[in-house]
Amino acid sequence: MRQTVVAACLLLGAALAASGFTFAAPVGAPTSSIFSEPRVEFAPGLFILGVVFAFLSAVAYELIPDGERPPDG
Amino acid sequence: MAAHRIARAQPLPFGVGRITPGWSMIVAILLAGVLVGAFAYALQYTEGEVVTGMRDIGTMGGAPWGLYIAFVVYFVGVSFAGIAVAAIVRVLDLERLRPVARMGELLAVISLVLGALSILADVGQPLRAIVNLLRYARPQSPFFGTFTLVISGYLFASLVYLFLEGRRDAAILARTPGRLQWLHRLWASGYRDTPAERERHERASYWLALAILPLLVTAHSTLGFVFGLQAGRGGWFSTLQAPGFVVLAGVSGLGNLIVLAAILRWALRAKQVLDDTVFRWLANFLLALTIVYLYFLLVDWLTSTYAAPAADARLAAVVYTGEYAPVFWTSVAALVAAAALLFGQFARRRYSLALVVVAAVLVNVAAVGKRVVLVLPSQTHGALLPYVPGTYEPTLVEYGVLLGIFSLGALLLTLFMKVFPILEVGGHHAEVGS
Repeated sequence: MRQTVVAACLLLGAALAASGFTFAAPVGAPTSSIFSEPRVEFAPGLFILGVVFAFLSAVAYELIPDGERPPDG
Repeated sequence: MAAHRIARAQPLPFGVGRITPGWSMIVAILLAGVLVGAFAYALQYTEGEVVTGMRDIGTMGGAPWGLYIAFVVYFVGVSFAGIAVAAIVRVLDLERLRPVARMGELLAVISLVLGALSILADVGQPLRAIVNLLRYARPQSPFFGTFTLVISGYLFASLVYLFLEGRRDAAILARTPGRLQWLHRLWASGYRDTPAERERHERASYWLALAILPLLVTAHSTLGFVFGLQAGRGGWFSTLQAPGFVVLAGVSGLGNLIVLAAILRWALRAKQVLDDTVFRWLANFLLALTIVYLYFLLVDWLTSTYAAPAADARLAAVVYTGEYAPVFWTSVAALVAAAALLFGQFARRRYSLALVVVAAVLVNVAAVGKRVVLVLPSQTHGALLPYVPGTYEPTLVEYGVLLGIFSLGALLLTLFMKVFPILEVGGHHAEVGS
């Protein structure tokens, strides 16, 4: 459970940060004013959210307890 | 029942939860400072930035970045050493500096909040600035890194670090009944200090610290690039800006940490915890960084006065011998004096707490002066177009807002100390139950 949440947090964070960065950066030769703005509105916000999620994985790692194991015998 | 009474009578460590007349008076003074700042900012918000000394570059002969931006750089710099020391303590297992780790984490969080507030004070319409930043910030601009990595990512990382590092002490404090028990329970969030939990915490903190350290350097470098990548203005375009920012950030942050640790050692009577060894280590780190920064200053001086382009040479004259020379040379003198004080103690291997604190104050005077000299002259005297030199004179409104921001920082710190121990309670190897 814990490992799943931590991995999900990290992956989601990385994906959001990467996509936020890519959407915020105009790709290609700047031939018109469209290159002056992010391709997706609030893409920089997505990047920040990604960084936040990545660091949240540390909280998830510590806070979520290990799966209970049945007592031996 | 009897045990319950005994537990209730037990005071929390380091004055947590104990309201004294002295503390109340400090809070009242700081609240007054915050109110002055709020009033000054309300005036600026309603009347517009015309009540400040900031004006447009060129035709209006002014500087749109004034004291607020100088203090953004200063506050973000202070945050650097706080969290860097905490992270280095974890990564290198530096037990000697462990007593100042939480102080550093807190200093980082508060300084970043103050830095963000200084930015908001600088922009005319803060709400519009925040929303548009989230909508339109471009990664090609160094501001992108400054706002996304420094103000949000790095602040959030510091908060996470402070929270996780504090859980164990929160669990210890949560065993004592009282008004703050709910908060300590909440912070502990189920921590029981089992060997498995300890191991997990060690692992998480180690990796978190490892992630924070490069983030710190990147974040501070992007702040340096805000100035260092601007070729259209004399004095800013330099490869030394980014590393200079990182090093001066370390200098001012360590200076603040030393002053704060000295005050807490006296106020909390914590001579045993914050012993001379802690200050010796901090002083040696500060000496090393101060020497590196003095070297950067020397290199910058030689380069800009040797055969620099016309705009840079003109600006160098303004800074070294002109209008800004008093601020510049005061900063240099403060840095040299601090380095001499620290080196004298290092060479004799005898340290005086008072002298270390004096050096720490001096480097902070230098850091503020250097930020002012970095931000202002290039705007008032660095134009490549044939504008007459501009001027910038901060107004009472700006001083009032900054007083409010500083007071808020001190107030947050003072309040924190009454709800949570600013020094580690149990020691690294103590048991939660003991």
